[in-house]
This record gives sequence, C-alpha cells and structure tokens, in this order.
Amino acid sequence: MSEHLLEVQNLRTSFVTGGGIVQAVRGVSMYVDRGEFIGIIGESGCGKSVSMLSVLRLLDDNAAVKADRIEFDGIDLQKQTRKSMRKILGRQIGMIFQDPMTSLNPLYTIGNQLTEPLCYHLKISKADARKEALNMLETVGINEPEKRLKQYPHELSGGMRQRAMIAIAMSCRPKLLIADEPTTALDVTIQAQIMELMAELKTKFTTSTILITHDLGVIASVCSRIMVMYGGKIMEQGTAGDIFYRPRHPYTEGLLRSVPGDGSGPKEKLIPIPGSPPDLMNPPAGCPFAARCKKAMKICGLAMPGLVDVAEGHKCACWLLYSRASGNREV
Amino acid sequence: MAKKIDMFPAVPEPPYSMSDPAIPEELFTDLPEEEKFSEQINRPSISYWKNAWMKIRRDKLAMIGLVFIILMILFAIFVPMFSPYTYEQQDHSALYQPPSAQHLMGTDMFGRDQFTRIAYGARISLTIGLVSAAVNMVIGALYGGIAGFFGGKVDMVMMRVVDVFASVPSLLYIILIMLFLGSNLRSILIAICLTYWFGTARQTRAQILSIREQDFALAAKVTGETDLQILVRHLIPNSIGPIIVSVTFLVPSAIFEEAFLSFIGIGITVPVASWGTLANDGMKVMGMYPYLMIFPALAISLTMFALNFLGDGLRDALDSRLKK
Amino acid sequence: MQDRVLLDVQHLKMYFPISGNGLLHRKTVPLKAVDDVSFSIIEGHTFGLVGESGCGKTTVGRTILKLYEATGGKIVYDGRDITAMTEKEYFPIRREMQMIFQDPMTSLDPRQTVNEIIGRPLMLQKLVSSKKERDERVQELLHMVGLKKDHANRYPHEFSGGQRQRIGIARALGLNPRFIVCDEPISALDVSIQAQVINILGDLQEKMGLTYLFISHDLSMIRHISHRVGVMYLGHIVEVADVEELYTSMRHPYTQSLMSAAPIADPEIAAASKRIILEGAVPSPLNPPSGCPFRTRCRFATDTCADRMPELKDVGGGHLVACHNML
Repeated sequence: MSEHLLEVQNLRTSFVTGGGIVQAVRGVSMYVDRGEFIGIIGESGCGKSVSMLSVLRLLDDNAAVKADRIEFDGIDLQKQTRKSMRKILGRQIGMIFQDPMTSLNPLYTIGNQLTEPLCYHLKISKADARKEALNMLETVGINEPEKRLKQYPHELSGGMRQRAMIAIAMSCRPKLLIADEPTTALDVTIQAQIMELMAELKTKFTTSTILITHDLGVIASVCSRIMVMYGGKIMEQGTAGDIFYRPRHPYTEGLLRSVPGDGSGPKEKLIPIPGSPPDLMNPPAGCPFAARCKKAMKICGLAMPGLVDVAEGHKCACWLLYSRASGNREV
Repeated sequence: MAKKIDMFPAVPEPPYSMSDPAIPEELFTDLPEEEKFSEQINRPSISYWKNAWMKIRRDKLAMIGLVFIILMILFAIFVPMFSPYTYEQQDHSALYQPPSAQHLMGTDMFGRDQFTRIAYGARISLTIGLVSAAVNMVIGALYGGIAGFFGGKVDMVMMRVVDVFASVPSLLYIILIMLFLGSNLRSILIAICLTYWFGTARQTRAQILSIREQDFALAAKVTGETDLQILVRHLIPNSIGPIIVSVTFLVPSAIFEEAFLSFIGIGITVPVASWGTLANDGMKVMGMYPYLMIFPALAISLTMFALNFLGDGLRDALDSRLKK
Repeated sequence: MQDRVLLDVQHLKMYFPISGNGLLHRKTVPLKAVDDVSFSIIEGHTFGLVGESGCGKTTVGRTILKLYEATGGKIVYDGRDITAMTEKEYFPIRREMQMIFQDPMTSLDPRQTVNEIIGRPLMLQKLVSSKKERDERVQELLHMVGLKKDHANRYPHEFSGGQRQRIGIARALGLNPRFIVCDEPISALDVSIQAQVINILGDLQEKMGLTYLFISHDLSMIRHISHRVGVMYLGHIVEVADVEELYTSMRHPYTQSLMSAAPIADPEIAAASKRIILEGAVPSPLNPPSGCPFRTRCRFATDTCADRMPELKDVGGGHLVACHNML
C-alpha cells in the first residue's frame, strides 16, 4: 500500500466537441495524503474540475482519460468497473458540487437522499440510517433536523442545500472529500458559513479534502497545500505560505496581484494579466502562460518546462528557474 | 468512413528540458510582444447555420435520413415522368404479377404497375408533408410569436383559444372537413394544416418568452431598439432553430396522418393512390400477394424513419446552444 | 470643478406583482424588490451598490434605465425627471445611459457578429451615417477595449468570457454615454480577467468623465473602484457613505458582518481576522419581516427593530445609516 491516499500520475483527459478535440488536462500528477486539506486553484477551463472528475470516472462518454496511474487507498481506479466504482463513490469518496440545486434530486426528500447511501453502502437498517441522518444534519449545522428530513431540496435556502449536500457527502465517513467550487454559487455571508463548516469538519473527521476553486480568498484560509493549474497543467504547488508569500511562477504572481489588496494602503491600479487563456483545442507547444507572461522568453514558446523543486515541498514549472535563466534575469 | 480520432495527440518531445545544460543563450531573451498571441483566435469563424450543418454531417443517421428523403423526392418527381405506365392504367392481362423486370414491384388486382403507383403515392405523401409543415410553421410561428411577444392579456386570450381548439380530437375536425369538402388531397391538406399548428404556436410562444428575458434582449432595449425591432432582429432569429426542429417532426406526422386516413378509408379516393390506400388494398390480399402490402408499408415506414432520424439530427444541431 | 449631481434617485420603489393561486380571483402579492431607495451620484464618480443576491441591487439598476416601470419615487437624470417620460421622449436620453451586463454569455446575441452587435446601436442612434463609417467606428471601439480588428466578423461564442465582456463594454461605449450601469460586470469572469475589465472601466472614466453605478457583491472590488458606496439588504439601503468612511467605520451591523465575511486572499490576515458569521439566510422578499429587514439575523435586534423600520440618518459627513442600534 502506498503512503498516499490518492495518487495520480500523468493524467490526461480529452473531449470530443463540435470543433475538434479539446485537451482539457495535459499531464497532471498529484497526490493527497491522509487527513490533508489541499486546494486546486485555477481559472475556468484550466482543467481543475475535469481532472478530479476524470479520477472519479464521472465524465460523459465524449471524454477519454489516460493516466500512468490513478491509485486510491491501494485500489487502482482505472481497473474498476462501473459497478465497483459506484461502491467506492459515496462510501470512500464524497463529492460536493458547485450548485447544490442541481446535485440534489428534486424528487426526493432530504431524508431520502441522506439515508439511501447509508443503507446502500453501510448496509444498516432504515431506522439506524435515519438516526445517523439526523445526527449528520445536526453536525452540519442544520436546525430542526427532524423537519428538514421531510423537506424537498427546493424548500431549503441555498446555504441550507449546500449544508445538506455536505451532510450527504460526509454521511458514510468517506476517506476523501472532493469539493468542487462549493461556495461559488453562494452569497458572501453564506460562503463564510460554509467555509467555516468545512474547516470544522476537517478537524472533526480525519477526512482528506480536495477543494477546487477559482477564489484566492476561499483557498487562503483553509488549505495546507495548494496546486495552481493553468491550461491543463500544474504550474506551481506548495504550502499556502509558498503560494501566497513566495510565489515563483509569474502566473501565480499575476493572480495575486490582480486582486485588490485589503485597501489599507493607497489605492493602486490593479495589475491585470493581459490577454486570454489558451485555447485547449490548439494548445501551445510551450508554456501555456507564455503568451500572457510579462517575463516570457523565446524558449517559453518552444518547450514546456518541467516542475522543479524550489524549496522543500514547493515546486514550480517555469523556465525562469533554469540555472542559466535566473543568472541574467530577475525572477 | 471517419477514421478513429486520436484523443491524445502525441506531444512532440520538447526540444529542450530543464536538465539540459546547453540551451542556446539566445533563447533566454525576451519573447517579442508580437509573438504573443493570447488574443488571437485560431478557430475558423463559423456561423450558427454553418455549425449546424457541420454537426448534421457528422451525424450518420441524420445523413442517411437526408439522403433517403432526397432520393424519395427524386423518385416521386421522375419515376412517374419516365415510367411506361401511369398510376391508373389497367392491364387485365397482368393481374397480380409478382415483382419482375417489367413490374419492379409487381401489379395489383387491375394489373396496375405498383412501382409507378408508389411513386405517385410519394408525390401525394411528400406534398402533404412539406406543404403542411410549411403552412404550420408560418401560422404557428406567427400566432405563437405574437402571443409571446405581447404577453399579458393578449397572450392569455390567444393561448386559451389554442387550448380550446387543441382539446378537441383532431380526427373530429378532419372527418368534418372531409364531409364538407369531399375526400381529396386538398381537403386532407386543409384538415392537417388546421389541426397541426397548435404545437408550433405553443412552442414558439415559449421560445419567445424565454428569449425575451435574456440579457441581450435587454441590451437591445438599452441601446434604443424598439420592441418590434427586438422581435424581428433578436427574438425570431434566436427561436427559429427549435421551431424548425419541431416542424421537421410535423412532416412525418402529417404523412402518417394522411396514410392513416386513407388506410381507414376517409382519405384519398380511387383511382388516385396514396401509400395509405395502397397498403389498405394490399392488406386485403396480404396472404396471397404479400408484396402488394410490403412495398407500400416499406415506403411509409422507411420514410418515417428517415424523417425522424433527420429530425433528431436537426434537433441536436439546432436546439442546443452553441458550445465551444 | 463644482461637484454636480448627475443622477438623483429619490424614494425609488419597484414592486413586481406576483400572482398567487386561484382560478378566477387572481390574488397578486407585491414583491417589493426595491423599497424606498434614495441616493445620488456625482458626475464623473462611481457609486458602488453592494449586497447579496436578491437584495434588489440589479432591479435598482434596471429601473433607473427604465427597463422596468418604477412603482414609485423619482429618477432625476441631469436635472430632468425621467421617471414618467414616454419611450419617445426618453429615446434621446437612452443613448447617454448605458449598461454593462453581468453574464457575457447571454448579453450578446449569439446570431450576430461583433460588427453587428457593436455597430447596430450606432446606426440606430444615427451616430454614423454610412456602413463604412460604422465599420471604422467599430474597429476603433474594439481597439479601445484591447481587441483586434479581425474580431469584428466573429460570433460571440468564439470569444473567451473576458473578451466577450469587453465587447459588451465596446457596445455601451459606442453610444458616447455619460452614465453606465455596471451590473456585476466582473462576477462571471476569472480573477485574472476581472482586473482587466476594472482597469478598462477606470481608464474610461478618467478619459471620458463617465459616471458609473457599479453593482457588485465583491466588496474588495467595490472598494477599489467606488467613490461612494451603498449597502443594500432586502430592497432597502441600510448604509451609504464615502468609500473609505464606510470601510473603516461602518455603523450598520449588516455592513459589518458582510465585510467580515468577505474572503481574504492572504492566509495570515485571514487567520488573524475575526469573522462575524451571520446565522440563517436572507428572508423572502415576498414575506419580509416587520420593521427592520435585517432584524431576523441581527445580533443587536431589539423590540423596537420589529416595530418600525429605521430611517436613514446622517451620522455626519454624508454617512447615512438606517439602524436603531447603530454601532
């Protein structure tokens, strides 16, 4: 058994679309350790959600997934059948999606949707499942759990629905929780509630969590390790401190600089990253960020740099880190 | 046929790697601004219709349907023109001939050439299908468009009228119309046109209502377009796709309706032959001369299949929003 | 230069009739999307309107542009009361009051090319006299928002979100507006693109003296771009102040919790900051609480709050607060 809970090596995912093949994920390797709370940050279309859905084999038929290795808790996920995958999802791996309204089934009550996986996965009786469901609803901070069990998703507010979703995802005490933009569809005050809850659950259960988001603010406070994705590749990874205070990749730097500061200083002009993300139907040969990078060199357009260690646990893929580049250019 | 698509285009081995000690110094100079193409769009510009056509072309079933319909139209136009027989010409020396070189689909109880009669039937069926679809599209789209666009009370009254008409079984109207106007092609057409536009009207109204709420309709208003301009320039062009799809599905229904009416004996009358009457005649002698039943039945069902395949393909191509 | 009020909104009310059930007797319940909202914007300034979804901020913007017919109150633009103007009377003013929409996917007609999208309003408002002139102006506008000439013949779906939003800005700019309602113009965009759009808006304001009503739920962006900010909750403005005043000495409990809930993109500051987590969710505007709309979630709520709605009171320096127990 490997020491990592989830290990993915050289993951590639492509989609067939009207216009051609979109290479959404282009060689992503990552791991999650037990009890770890990691974050994947990137803009829309960078492949952050797709890479996770590929790992869980939840993509539609028009997608093709290839990887050297996808191992979860000693199980090779690529070898699983649809049926055995179903046993793992929900039981060992829980998922929370962006929009709780579309991921909850509108035809069933919250109670139904909470107890069903409990009965299916844990093989416990209906009465026990109900008890556990009540317990779970209380854990995620839903008031009047008795009443909520009988309600349908549309009767709950957005924040409540997301809580219910979390309750369902956590009900079987999965080893891994994948939260895909769990707060994006919610209002700021509700966002804060949900992030608080996720942080609480992290300490309460020893579940590993992968938080996928585009929001620097959401990821800053909870994640111990962060991966920055761009154009279907991982550009930089490291601790929250590495990423926020010692970023080495120009993209990470650009991201941090394009949000306004806390406003305490004088009003400075924002420094945007010019241009638009690359079209993954025709991905560039070199670094996907080269076209928008202020520090781009000729080599950046030719070849994609590999991830190199810049410090303990801090990796970055940028030609500026090449021994001879750093000599004559400021990083 | 299409070759298997390579989902993972091979990544060319990068010319240099990070561990390479001897990368030319020159490559570590600034990438010139003009070589940064981040705002460039590499894809060819395709309009909605071009994109739809590309999608249909990739849809095998829809293409088969389309080709079949075109062949059927050619068949209906040219076979009666060049056939040595006419649909009503009887030949008492050749009754109930099985299919042969002379009579490709055999002859019926009066010695009429079935191949020619089916081609005539195709004329009738296709005319009914296409004309009723066109008429329904115009009436339905206009009616539904007006209701959806004006909304409020106008919409309420117009749609209740549709509800009332649609709630009476269409067969009742059709039989009534047949009684008054006689059993012929014209009255079948009128009957079908009068009963089929409700669906189109409802659908158009729903389309217009939903598009009217889209931001681009608001944007048009903000920039000073009048309501009528918004209807003509934004609402109709954006709802035309789904309307065409629903009308495409009307064609097979109309053709089938005619075949059904003729089959039960209230449609086209002898000696004119439609597929429905042919099938009806054939059914009577099905045990002895199965080909008299099989060919018209095949004509009907294959055409239905083809039109439905085409309709499905059109729906996939037109109904969904343009995706990347 | 004397500060001149360009837009003055007085006691604006926008109720939507929501029909209840019943076959013959349709009961209509008013949905009070905007209830007695007043503020004014100085020419060349940006007024930020912040609040959570459903608070009525978008409705305010749309009512000002006469996309909805106001239920009550007055909208005075450039000294003229536009509230009761007919479509015909308003037509020449329409050009001056433009809008940038939230979702760049739906705000551009998918069947039209960029040239048509940007050029059509120019023809309508007779700002150009020939097709050739129109094409030139479109190119010029595309250039202003950082897009290329050959983009003019493309369709919206071929662009990325940020590019589309810039097309939307170019469409609004083409009419030489003086006032633009920016309705969540960045919330559908990626972080790296948001700054592009904000900077374009800022540059244009500087160059052309534009006045913005900037509607957003992003507090840090609002702070960055606005001169004065109004906080909305359930159809009411609960606090208005100049931007620095509001962010440093907020007086309304809702403003305070909203600010503290905003995510901070800095792990250490985030860890150090104390959050006031609000309980529950925003009540339905169909059935708002009596008195102060915020009292159901307020830590300081008293009986007075349930009895009557607090008035917006000036606490000095143009800082208005509607609260019985202000901080």
